[in-house]
Amino acid sequence: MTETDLERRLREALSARATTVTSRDLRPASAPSRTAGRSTAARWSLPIAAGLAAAAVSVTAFALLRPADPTPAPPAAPASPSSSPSPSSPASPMPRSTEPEAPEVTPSAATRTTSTAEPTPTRSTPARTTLAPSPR
Amino acid sequence: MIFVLPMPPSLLRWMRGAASSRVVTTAAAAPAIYELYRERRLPLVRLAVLMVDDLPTAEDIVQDVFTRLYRRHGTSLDAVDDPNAYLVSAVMNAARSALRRRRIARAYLPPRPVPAPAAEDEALLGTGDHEVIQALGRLTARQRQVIVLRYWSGLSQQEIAATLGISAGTVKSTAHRALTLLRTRLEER
Repeated sequence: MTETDLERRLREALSARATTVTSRDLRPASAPSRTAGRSTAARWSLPIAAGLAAAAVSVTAFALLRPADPTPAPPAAPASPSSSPSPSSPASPMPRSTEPEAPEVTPSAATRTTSTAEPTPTRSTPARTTLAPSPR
Repeated sequence: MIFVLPMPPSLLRWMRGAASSRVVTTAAAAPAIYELYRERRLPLVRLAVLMVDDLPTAEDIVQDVFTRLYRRHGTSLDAVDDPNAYLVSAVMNAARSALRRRRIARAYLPPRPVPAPAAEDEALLGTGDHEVIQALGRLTARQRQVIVLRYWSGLSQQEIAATLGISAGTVKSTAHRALTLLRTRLEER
C-alpha cells in the first residue's frame, strides 16, 4: 500500500464518517449563555439566601415566642469568708435559726460552737463582743 | 373635544429613552458569538466526532467550548485574534481530555463487549471506511489529532503545530508514526 493510497483512504473514510453527522442529528441549538454554565457565586446564591432566610425566621420566632420572665431574681450576695464584720453592721445576713443559741461570752467560744464557714474574729476586732446585738 | 393631560417631564424622558433604546436594539447586529455558534457548530461537532467517535460526547464538548468562550470573552469576540482557530484548538484539547478520561474509566471497569455499529453507519460507511475508522480508534489521542487535522481539516504542519501547541517536528514525527501503524493494521486485514 503506497503512501498516497493510504492518504486517499484516510480522507475518504474521515469524510464519510463526518457526513454521517447532520444538523438533524444534533440537539436543538442552545446558544451559549450565562445560564448554561453559571458561575460559582450564582450557583451558591440560592442556598445562601435560603439559609439566611431560615436563620432570620428562627431568630424572629425565638424573639417573639420566648417565655416572659416576670420577676428577675436579684443577684445573690456572695459570701466572702475573708470579710470581717464591722461594728456598724446591724446583723449578720445569714439566716438564723429559731432555736435559742448560747450566749456568746468570748469570741473564742463562738468560734468553737459555730461552723468553720463563719468569719473568724481576730484580735484586731475586739469590739464585736460588746457592740454586736445578741439575739435573745 | 380632546382633553390633554399634562405629563411630568421625567415620564416623557423615560418614554423617549425606552423608544430610542428599542430602535437601537433592533438595528444592532446579532452578537459575534451567536453568529459563530450558528456557523461553526456542525463542523466542530463533526471534528469532535472524528476524535471521540461518539455523537453525544462530541456535542457536549462543543457546547462546553462555546460556553467557556462566552464566559471568558462575552458576546463580543474582539479580544480573540482568530476565533475559528481558537475553537478548533479548544475542541481538540477537550476531545483529548475526553479520550483520556475514557481510557482511565475503561481501566477500572470490567471489559464490555464491543457494541455493534449502528445500521445507519453501516449503510453510510463502506466496509473499507469502517476498517479505517476502527484502525484510527486504536491510535493514541495525539496521533489521532494529527491525522484528523491533516487529512480532514486539511491543515499544514505549521497550522497543526500552532493548533495543538507542539512543534512542527513533533507533528511530522507523530504523523509518520501514525501512518505506519495505520498501514500495518490495514494490511493485516
